[in-house]
Amino acid sequence: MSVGETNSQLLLEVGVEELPPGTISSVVKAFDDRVKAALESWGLQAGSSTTYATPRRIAVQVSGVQTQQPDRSEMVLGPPVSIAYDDEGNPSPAAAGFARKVGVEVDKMSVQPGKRGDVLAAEVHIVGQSAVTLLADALPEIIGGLPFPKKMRWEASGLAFSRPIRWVLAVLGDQTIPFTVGDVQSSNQTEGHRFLAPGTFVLESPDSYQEALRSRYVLADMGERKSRIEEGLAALETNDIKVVPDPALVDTVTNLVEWPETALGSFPSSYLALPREVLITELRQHQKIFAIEDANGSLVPHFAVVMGTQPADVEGVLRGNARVIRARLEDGQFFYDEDRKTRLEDRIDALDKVLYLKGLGSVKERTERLVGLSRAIAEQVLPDSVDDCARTAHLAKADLVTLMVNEFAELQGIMGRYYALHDGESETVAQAIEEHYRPRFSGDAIPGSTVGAVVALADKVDAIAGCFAVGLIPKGSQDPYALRRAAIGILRILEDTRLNIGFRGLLTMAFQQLEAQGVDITAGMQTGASEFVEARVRVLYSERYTHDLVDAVLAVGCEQPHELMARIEALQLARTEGWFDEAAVAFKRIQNISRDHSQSAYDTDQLVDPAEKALDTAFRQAQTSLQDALSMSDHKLAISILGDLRPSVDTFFDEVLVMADDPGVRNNRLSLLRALANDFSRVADFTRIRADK
Amino acid sequence: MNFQEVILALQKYWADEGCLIVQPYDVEKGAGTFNPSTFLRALGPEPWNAAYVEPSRRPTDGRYGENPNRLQHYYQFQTVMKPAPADIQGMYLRSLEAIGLKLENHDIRFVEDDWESPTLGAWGLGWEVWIDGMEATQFTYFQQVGGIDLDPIMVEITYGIERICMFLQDVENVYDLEWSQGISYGDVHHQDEVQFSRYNFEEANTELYFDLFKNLSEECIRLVEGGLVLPAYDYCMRASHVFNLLDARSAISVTERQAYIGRIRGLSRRVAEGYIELRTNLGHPLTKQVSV
Repeated sequence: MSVGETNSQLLLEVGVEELPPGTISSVVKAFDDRVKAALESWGLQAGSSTTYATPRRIAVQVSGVQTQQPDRSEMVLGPPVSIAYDDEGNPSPAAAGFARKVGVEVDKMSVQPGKRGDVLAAEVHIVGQSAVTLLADALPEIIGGLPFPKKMRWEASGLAFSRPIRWVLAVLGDQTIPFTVGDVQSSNQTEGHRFLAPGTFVLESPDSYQEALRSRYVLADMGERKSRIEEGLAALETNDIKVVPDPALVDTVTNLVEWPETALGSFPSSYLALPREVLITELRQHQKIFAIEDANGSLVPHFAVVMGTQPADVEGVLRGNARVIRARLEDGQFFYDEDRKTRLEDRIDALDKVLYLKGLGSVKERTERLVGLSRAIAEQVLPDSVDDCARTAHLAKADLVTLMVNEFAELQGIMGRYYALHDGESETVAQAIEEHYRPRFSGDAIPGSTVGAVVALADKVDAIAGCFAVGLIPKGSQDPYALRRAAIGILRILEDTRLNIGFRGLLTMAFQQLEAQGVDITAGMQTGASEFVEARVRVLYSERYTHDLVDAVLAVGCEQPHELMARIEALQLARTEGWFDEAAVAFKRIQNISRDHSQSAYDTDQLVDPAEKALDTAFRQAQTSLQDALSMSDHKLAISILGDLRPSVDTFFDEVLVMADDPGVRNNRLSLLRALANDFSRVADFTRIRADK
Repeated sequence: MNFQEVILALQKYWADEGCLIVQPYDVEKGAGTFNPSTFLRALGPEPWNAAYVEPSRRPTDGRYGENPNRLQHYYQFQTVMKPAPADIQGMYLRSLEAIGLKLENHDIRFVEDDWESPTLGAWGLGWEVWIDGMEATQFTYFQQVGGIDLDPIMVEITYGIERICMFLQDVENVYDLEWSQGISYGDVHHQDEVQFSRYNFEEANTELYFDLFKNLSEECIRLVEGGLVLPAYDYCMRASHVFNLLDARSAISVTERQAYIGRIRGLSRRVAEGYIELRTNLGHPLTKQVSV
């Protein structure tokens, strides 16, 4: 073995034709993980690693990689001792064969316990392999197996990758790791910027990687590129103009370029008459360009572009971009003008040509359900705005058949608002049309108006009920119609608005609408949908509350998130007080014993035992104050009123035999307990509450 | 460079790179991909390098000659190479130099684009190539055509030549492009746009076209079944164009649309299968030629 350095820097770079920007960060992380896992599996020491990634390369640099596996010995088990020797005590053919295989003489072997008795065992000396050899063997598979959502083939070997691999640099210290991936032979060469430093060059040493690339106009570090873009955009800002913040777009352009340069261009101010969202979306979606606003937040006729190079003619590049932007905005203007020629009202029939989901009719039919649902919900919770809610629902989907939404699906609702205002609809209806999609994603705002909230509830509950009605039920991670998000949306809206309606009530209304349109509805579908939303309740509140309390409250039919939270919080608080656990035990006993007894009317005159009379008296007294507490939603008070019943309950169970021989007496007692249990159930199902101790 | 010089320069460039210069195919179609030189030649093991101009019809894109950027009839310049050369990106960039673009002056980017043609049962991965923000070219490594996995892979480069030319000539309106000295694109095509937009959107006889769609599809199937895959493919292309016309007339509902697309995909799959069989029976003559 050679004397000298035993640890070297490892550098692996896969050079590719431009990768999709969205895949780059995750794939380079996988590359890093897999290289480190391989080193570890070979027992090679390795220091820290750094990753680099641009559209044209993903690279992993690992410091202090042990260049040589140490030699080691391993115990190899052979044939049983019983067959290892012949009658004369010489090695049998079996033993001799084993000796040849492992290269150890039989008399140097030991005896070790095997699974079925003692066996011959040889201590085999294994020569460690060099890291270069191990890596050369393993890297083709590591690189070829990197995960991408979509892969393609491009050369004869049939290798699949996100885009073609054009070079592979693989070096450990000053040694090239030789292997091939597809039709590419690894080397110590890489490439600089496609236009600013074209051609290949030899990398002097692994640790010079970042600098060597930087001097060839490649910022290999993603964070550095991103900072340069952010600084570049900030440098374009003045007191009067600001770049409209768009972190997602910054991330995208970071992975579209190797050497970002920013520049400010302009377009004719006449296009500012377009809705702000249209302008920003045109720039972002089609051109990956940033919009600019003034200090008051109004758009100005400028744009910021992140280029991938240092063009000799920046003005020319800006002219080119401006030309495309003008064409785009001209399209936008065309869509906007054309769309406004037809009132939303007059588009409803066109929705009949748009299929919603198989079995659930067209979007027009869905609209009719939403109108019915919004009306029914509003009559219950927002009686003064029934017409606004119905009008909103009627127009809510009409923008789906506009040119603009056809072009930019993400503008649905937003265009509805603009077009509604143009048609002369009220501000309330216009705003609610936009808001009825909310929350559109995790963390999105819920509707700001109550009319918006009502129609948003209708939209979501119709989606859930509809999908359950036609069997499109989410399974595992599969939730193509985003029903989980819809359910969470319903709960968040109810929690925040405190509208006096629960998710079960909403589902019932939604199923009624479907049934009225001729969709077959079964009890199983309704239970399924209800349980589906309950499961979301558990998930949503699992971080805040313990499971048993959520279950206990859900089990008694509580369906309004704010009510649910109030009860759980009251129970939680009560739980910290000394009396609660024992009271809960007493309540459980009542609920359990009376479970199968449905009657709750009892005859006071038939109560004979002083303890049952006392319980009856205490119960009657409690009932009035319990009613008051519940009607004020003072759950803490309600629970303490129930708690005060405990001594009478305990005495009752100590002194009274519920299961009396006389069926009349027995039934009357069970009815008394049932009546009590019914009142407990107005708060929670105590049988589901875990005792803390 | 004027419009015809751009076409001539691209033809010269790709001819020098070893492409056959073939001609437009004389059946209406939505894109150069439909030309048998791409759709059929992508299939099977035989190598194929070709370049050609393709007049392409997209009835729904008509704007009565009033939009400076949109046309219902326009030209694509198409290069296909199979197998895809390793330096194909470089070859493409040099073709831009061949039409007078100084690469160092511009911001040229390869922006992810997953290309798909549901009617042709074809998909591939690649990019839109942007020149200073303008989508100049569609660059695709085909993976499937007619629902069939390709091996070897064909790369397709589709230039939007009007756009590129507008950029080179620095004009804002496609009709102002200089086609050749003294003759503009508008002189050649403006009335086509006016008349065909009216025809496509207002006059096309939908009853006739529904009948045509049915008859052309049936003819395609009949021919495939009789082993005449090349004529069958003509009828597949025609059915596809008829569908585009019905679409422009808004005669097909959103729900039906999927079914129509599915039917055309069915035709192209049958044709593709038939073509593979045809070439196999012929013993893949082009493969032999190259390996000698």
